[in-house]
Amino acid sequence: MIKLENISKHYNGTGVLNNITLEIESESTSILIGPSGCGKSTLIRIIAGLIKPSNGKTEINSVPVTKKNINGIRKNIGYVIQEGGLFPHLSGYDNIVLAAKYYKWKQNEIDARVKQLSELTGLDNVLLDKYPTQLSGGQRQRISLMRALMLDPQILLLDEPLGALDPLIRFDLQKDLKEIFNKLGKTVVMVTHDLAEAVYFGDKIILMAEGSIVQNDSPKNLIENPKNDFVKKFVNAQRTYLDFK
Amino acid sequence: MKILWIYILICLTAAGCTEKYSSQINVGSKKFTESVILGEIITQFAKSANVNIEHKKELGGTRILWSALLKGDIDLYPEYTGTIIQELLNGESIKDFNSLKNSLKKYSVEISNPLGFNNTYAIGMNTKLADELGIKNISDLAEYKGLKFGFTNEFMNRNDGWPGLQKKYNLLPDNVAGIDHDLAYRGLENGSIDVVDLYSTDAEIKYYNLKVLKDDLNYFPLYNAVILYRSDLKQKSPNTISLIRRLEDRINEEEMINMNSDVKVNGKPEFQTASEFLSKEFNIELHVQQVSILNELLKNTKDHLTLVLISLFGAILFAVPLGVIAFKNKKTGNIILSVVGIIQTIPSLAILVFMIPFFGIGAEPAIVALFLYSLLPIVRNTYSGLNEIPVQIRESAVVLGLSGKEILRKIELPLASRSILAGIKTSAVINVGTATLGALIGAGGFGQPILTGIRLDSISLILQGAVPAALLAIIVQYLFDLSEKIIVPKGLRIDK
Repeated sequence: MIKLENISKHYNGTGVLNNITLEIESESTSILIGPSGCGKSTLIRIIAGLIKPSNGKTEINSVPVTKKNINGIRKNIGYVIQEGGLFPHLSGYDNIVLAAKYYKWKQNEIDARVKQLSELTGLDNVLLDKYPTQLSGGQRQRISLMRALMLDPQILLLDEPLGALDPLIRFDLQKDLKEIFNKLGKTVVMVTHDLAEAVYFGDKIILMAEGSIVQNDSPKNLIENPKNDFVKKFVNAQRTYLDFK
Repeated sequence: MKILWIYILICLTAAGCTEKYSSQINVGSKKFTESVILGEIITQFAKSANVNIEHKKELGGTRILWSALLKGDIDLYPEYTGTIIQELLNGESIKDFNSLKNSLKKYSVEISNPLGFNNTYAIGMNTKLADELGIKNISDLAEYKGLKFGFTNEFMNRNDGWPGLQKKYNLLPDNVAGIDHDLAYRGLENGSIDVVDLYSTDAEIKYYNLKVLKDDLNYFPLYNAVILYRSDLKQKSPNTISLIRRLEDRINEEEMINMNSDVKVNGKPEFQTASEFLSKEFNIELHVQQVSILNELLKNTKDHLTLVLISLFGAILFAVPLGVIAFKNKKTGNIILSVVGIIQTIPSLAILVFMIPFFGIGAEPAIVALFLYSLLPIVRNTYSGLNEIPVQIRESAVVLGLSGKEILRKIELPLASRSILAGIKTSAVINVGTATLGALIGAGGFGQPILTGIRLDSISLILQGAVPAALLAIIVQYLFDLSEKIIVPKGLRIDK
């Protein structure tokens, strides 16, 4: 379980997050959504331990996150960002196994895990030897996901992982990702700005605006019982091809 | 890491200590022909008496020779009384030769009796121009403000040089420029300079048909040639002392002018001029072999490579970590970047001279100076290479739980490798060029033939240094381009 208590973040006096309190249940998928600048990316980076909040505390599995234990906790967190954030000087394979090698896994353990993950993500083994610049966006995201899952973390954080993909690849990857989430039963937190994607993935949708949480609800409730005008407006601000007249 | 630094320090110190405690006697000479001939005479004379002696020739100017003598890097060198009084012991009241002797004793330096000729400073002009204007005396110059004065840099700054001359004769020319002595004659010939400082025993006075203006107010003191030597030479090599005694009062002015013109006008090598003098005056037949051009080239290449490789290697070991520190800690980084930046602005010649009190003359001070010069490009490129890594990449590494050290080793340094390598390459190429100045403080290398070439006005000698130096720079560049394939990770070299 991820627990955030009274988290605030400000840069030079400008508030980015205001007093956020949030509980994310284990093995659920929560989606952080909201307009640009609402603080959703800052929030996920605070959970990942990349940014220190100005105030408030974070607990992961009832353990408060501190400077001292953050590296240990990170073993339990997988992180995927837009365009993958792969290390360009390493092959796909080396990207995936970097952390395992650092933690001194045996080679046969590494091999077994990589095999398992490439089956899970449906990645052609031939691509493992390629460098990031030689791969397509979708392939890069699959490798990035493999890298994030390598140490088998309980928590998977994804910051707009599908944001830069073209619609067809995105459609396939959405489907695969959902299957993977269902199969693995991880605690997933994903940032997106696309409500359709949020509804497709989320057990919970956390709608944010101007550094605060506006509504934290199931997709059904969010759409059917919007808490206020902003939520109503956000939910209705979607176009489908049915708009075509 | 600490052990590595200690190791480097030990290596540098060890390199600095070799040779210094050997029994070899070292003769120095300044970078003008007469000094080199005198140095060569002393050297061959001593060799004929089986003294283990070496001539470190063309070691820049007075200050360098004096520091080297005090430091013990050389044991003796030819000097002039006027220079000693005005330049080296400036401010002490010296009435006669005896008080000069006593003043030098405070520095544990002894002086021979005069060798027999006075090579005073003089002021000269193109004879035709002087006759046209009716200039005979230095005082006549005061009337012609449009004349262009070109003086050696040393003369411009010496107490017994231009500042005093200007005051004494009340000269206020519009145009005064500093220029190398050997280049000044060319300037006179083609009319870009009208008035120059001369040494009265210069061969060129006759060759270029120059008018030596009369010092009608008796400004210039006597510049009797003498030999300065360290007091401990008496214990180290009594033989050398007795040879110095024998040289006293044996070279007159005409003889010195003839020897100078043998070398400068007739193109005879200094060693031959010196041995002819010794054979004529002392009946000494010494068989001296001229070093072949190939051997000379090999020696210069070896010396040059030693300077470049050691200084560059040291700089890499030092500058890459400095660049990393600068990147990790912005405050310290600002200090580091400013300091190495300031070092870079010090003229290379000045840095070489600054090093002499600490490291003496020879390869060591040159290596240290080149080392300091190589820092900036490497530090800066390491810093900027690390700084340019996108935040997302760094954060991806952090989230994987890798330690800071591991991130530096596996992610940051490889990603910055191309930039770091480019910095090293810049340093190496600058280093190859700057190392030619090392010859001025006795470090040898490709600068040696360039220095001699400028002195003797010989293009072919200059090319013997300049061409290999340029070739070396090209080779260095090529090698670095090649090494990029090994050092820069493959993933960064793939075309997108």
